[in-house]
Amino acid sequence: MNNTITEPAAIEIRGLRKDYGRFRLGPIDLDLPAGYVTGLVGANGAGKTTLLKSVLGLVRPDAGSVQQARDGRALPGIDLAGTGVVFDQLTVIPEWTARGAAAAIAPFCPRWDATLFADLLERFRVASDARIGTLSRGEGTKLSLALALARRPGLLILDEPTSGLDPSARRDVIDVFAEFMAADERHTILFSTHITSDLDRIADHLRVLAGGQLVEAGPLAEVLERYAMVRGPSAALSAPARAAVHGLREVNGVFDALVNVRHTALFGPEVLIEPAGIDDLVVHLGRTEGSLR
Amino acid sequence: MSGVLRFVRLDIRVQQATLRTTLAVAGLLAVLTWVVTPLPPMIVAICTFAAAIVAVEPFRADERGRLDVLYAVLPVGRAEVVWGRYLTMLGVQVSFAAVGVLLAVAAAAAKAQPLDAGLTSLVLAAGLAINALVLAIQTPVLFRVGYARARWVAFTPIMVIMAIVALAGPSGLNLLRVASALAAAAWLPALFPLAGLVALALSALASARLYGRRDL
Amino acid sequence: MQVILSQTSGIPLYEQITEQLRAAILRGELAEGTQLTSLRQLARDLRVSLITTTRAYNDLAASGLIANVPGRGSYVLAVDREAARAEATRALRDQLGRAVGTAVTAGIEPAALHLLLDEAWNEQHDH
Repeated sequence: MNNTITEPAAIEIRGLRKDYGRFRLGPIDLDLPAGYVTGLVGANGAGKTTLLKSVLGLVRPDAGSVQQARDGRALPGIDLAGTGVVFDQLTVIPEWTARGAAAAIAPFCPRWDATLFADLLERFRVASDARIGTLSRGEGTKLSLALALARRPGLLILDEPTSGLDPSARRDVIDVFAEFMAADERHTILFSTHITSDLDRIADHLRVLAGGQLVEAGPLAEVLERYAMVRGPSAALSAPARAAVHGLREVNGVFDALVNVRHTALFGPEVLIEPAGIDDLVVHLGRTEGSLR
Repeated sequence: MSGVLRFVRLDIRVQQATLRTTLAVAGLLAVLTWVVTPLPPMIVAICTFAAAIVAVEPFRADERGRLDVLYAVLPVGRAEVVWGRYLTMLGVQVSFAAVGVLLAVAAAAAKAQPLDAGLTSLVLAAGLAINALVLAIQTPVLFRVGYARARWVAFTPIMVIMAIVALAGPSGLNLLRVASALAAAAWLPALFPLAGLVALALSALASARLYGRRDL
Repeated sequence: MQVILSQTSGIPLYEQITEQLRAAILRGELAEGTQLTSLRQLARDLRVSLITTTRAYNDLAASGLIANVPGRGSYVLAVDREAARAEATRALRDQLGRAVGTAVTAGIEPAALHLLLDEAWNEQHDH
């Protein structure tokens, strides 16, 4: 599996392992390329949140290291002062107002930009004196994003930031990400999500987690080009083809599966071969059927 | 140190937001106990007892707002969070005790009686010390597992008080007689809070260790 | 000039960018020496990934239409009319070859094919 990148890595993860008994993450080697948007995808329970929490230091890994390039050196852990984080659940008291939350957080952030915070709230149409408990899901996420961006971070780490948002809110949020990336060539985003259409356009790189393992990594277009979706009558599936596919599904005599493009010759003319999307990778690489990569 | 102080400021904002609940609980307790023992020095005991009861509130707020995660992604260390929280707790305890003393003075004045300074200072010292003991016991548990999984810990003050009362004798009057005798030794009241502070410091060290290892 | 991307055309985004810029350059709309929008700025304007715009500009540079100067930006080069014409001719040969193949398979006469060509030309030039 090709995990090499020519650009410098903003974050390097080596041998990361976390054991929760029934669920085990790792060992994972992962590079987060600096200056790019990396999408982290995988089914529920694949380990995305655990991975992000390990990177942020919220959970202590059982093994492995997380290093970040800072001041020209690789240093352990993440520089939280330069990192903005958004989780899918708010981490503020419902009784606070938006302005109150900012006032609580600002003293910790050396580069806090109050003007930017106010501008973002206005743009997102979130009232600064609104009590956080009264905000809708979408407004809450936008507030979290405003709080994260007002810290003027160089790195944004986002765990499902657009889940629960209506399409209009998602557009607003993606726009903000695009501006963040344009503002400085060193700005980096790590973005875990289910909503893969968000990634289709703005993600440069892709990392796919399944069952606690990293099963794919690389530039988005390249990763997608490694695979194809195959669909057809089950009868057309030869034994070697059956062994070569990932995540085989058979319903009423029709099958669909993901296959590495190396193996498309195993399929005859009755089988439809189409490009794979990110969703296809998440759905089919997550299953354990099919052993050849 | 600056990280600790910065966290104290944040913690005050956190607790301000839930102040109403805290004061309501404390007020209710104060009223109930005043009905039972209307002796001016006992007001101090009531207030310090109330302070022990509300000591879990910041942790409840942390749980509701998932603030542990917030603290963890801000550039402040887990040990700084712990020491900061202990400082705010200490501040709350001392504030409640101060209010208790003021109320005791006011109550004595209202009854046109002189306030028994020796007994009052002894009650104050004992109250602070017992609270320190209570906090020293329950806070590391709260830091380790969080409020939701440690709700039983809120009963610690009651259990400690009951244990002390049980040890001291069958009736409160016995306790008062012992207390009056002790009150004669003027230096004794100073010892209790000091021991309490030591207990809290040790507790903070334990909490820092436990919280530092906690998976959030 | 504005690049307008289609989500539903099935043509990869980077290719659409390349084609639209190529057309603008060959039309003369983007004069020699014009500095193109930076990679990051374009990525932001079009709401696409940086790698997408990078690939588009790399392809344009490979075709000799622009120069990517590290640290300075991307600039339109002088259009080599000869080379552009030769490349277009080559592309047309491929496309016409396929068109002829389709016609032969369906049994369509060369005269009918010429008519189709005229129709297609008139349609485009009406716009």
